[in-house]
Amino acid sequence: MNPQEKVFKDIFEANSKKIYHLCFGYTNDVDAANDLLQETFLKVWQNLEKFREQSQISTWIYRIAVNTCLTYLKKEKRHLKEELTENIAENQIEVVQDKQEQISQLYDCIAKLEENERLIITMVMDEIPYTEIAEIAGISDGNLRVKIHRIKQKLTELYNQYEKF
Amino acid sequence: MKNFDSLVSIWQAQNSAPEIDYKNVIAHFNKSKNSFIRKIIIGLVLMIIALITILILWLKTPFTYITTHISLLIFVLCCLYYIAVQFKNYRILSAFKCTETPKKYIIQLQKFKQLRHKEYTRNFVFYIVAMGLGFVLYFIEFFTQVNTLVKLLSIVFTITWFLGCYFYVKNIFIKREETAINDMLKDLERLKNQFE
Repeated sequence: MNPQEKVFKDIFEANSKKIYHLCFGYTNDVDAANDLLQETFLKVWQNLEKFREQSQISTWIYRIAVNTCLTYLKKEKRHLKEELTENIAENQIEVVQDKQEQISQLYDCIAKLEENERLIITMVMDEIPYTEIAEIAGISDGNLRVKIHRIKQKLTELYNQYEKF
Repeated sequence: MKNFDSLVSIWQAQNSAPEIDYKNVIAHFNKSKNSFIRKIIIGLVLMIIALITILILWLKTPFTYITTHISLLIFVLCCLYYIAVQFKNYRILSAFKCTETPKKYIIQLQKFKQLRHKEYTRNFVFYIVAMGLGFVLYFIEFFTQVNTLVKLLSIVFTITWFLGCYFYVKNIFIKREETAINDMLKDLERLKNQFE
């Protein structure tokens, strides 16, 4: 393994799980999340030299992932809309354990949020610092806090409504 | 009833993990890079062959009509224009910064989509008109040297090609492109506003 591959391996292992959560939260689809993850890290690999100059590498990876997710919607929008209902139905049948069912329900609720809300809330739940999320999203700290407060309420309401049924 | 902290606990208890590893990414990069380079090379080789064929025809054949020279010049310019457009798009895409803020990223994407749309619609119409004009001018001298059957076949083929292009390009292709680009720009604008 050459030094560049070693660096990439370390970056991938340190960040891939959280980036996968972001992609899964955005698409609510396993295949699409894996595709988006691959596309994100493909760009990371292509820009590895530039990343070495950055102090906060995770910020830049997240930003690439966010931009990749936003672009992906443009290509797959119709496809996703058609499959969303089927996925919800399939997940409900397949998931039997309580915990898994809760996770599946949470993803279904996230899928009902606006695009930027999905991205922001998955980062919040993965405990990314607010200052970093603000930098990734390119918005001010104050604006982000207002958005997060609103999204938290919205997601909690959606989840509690979902649980009633 | 659950509060947000309970949702965070559910989220953090998940064990979902990606199905790919870093080796898949590197392998995919090598594969896609090669196929991308291959596509560019094939496109360029075909266009260079077309250019060389036209230039050989132009140099080796003693054309006497000025209209024939103008027509061949138009064909050469069309080929060069196509190559220039492909290179320009390639340069723009290479300069794309995926680490920009979402808002700036969407703005650069909007600009690129608008540029591509202009090329695919307005410039495509100019391209078809220029090629058609080239054929008409070329046929002036060509028709003095061929029999009636070849003349007739050439006229029928050219008119059919023109009508097909005109009705397809104007009525179907451009309309479809307009709808697609407007939907896409509307969506991009909506996403851009989400990051205000």
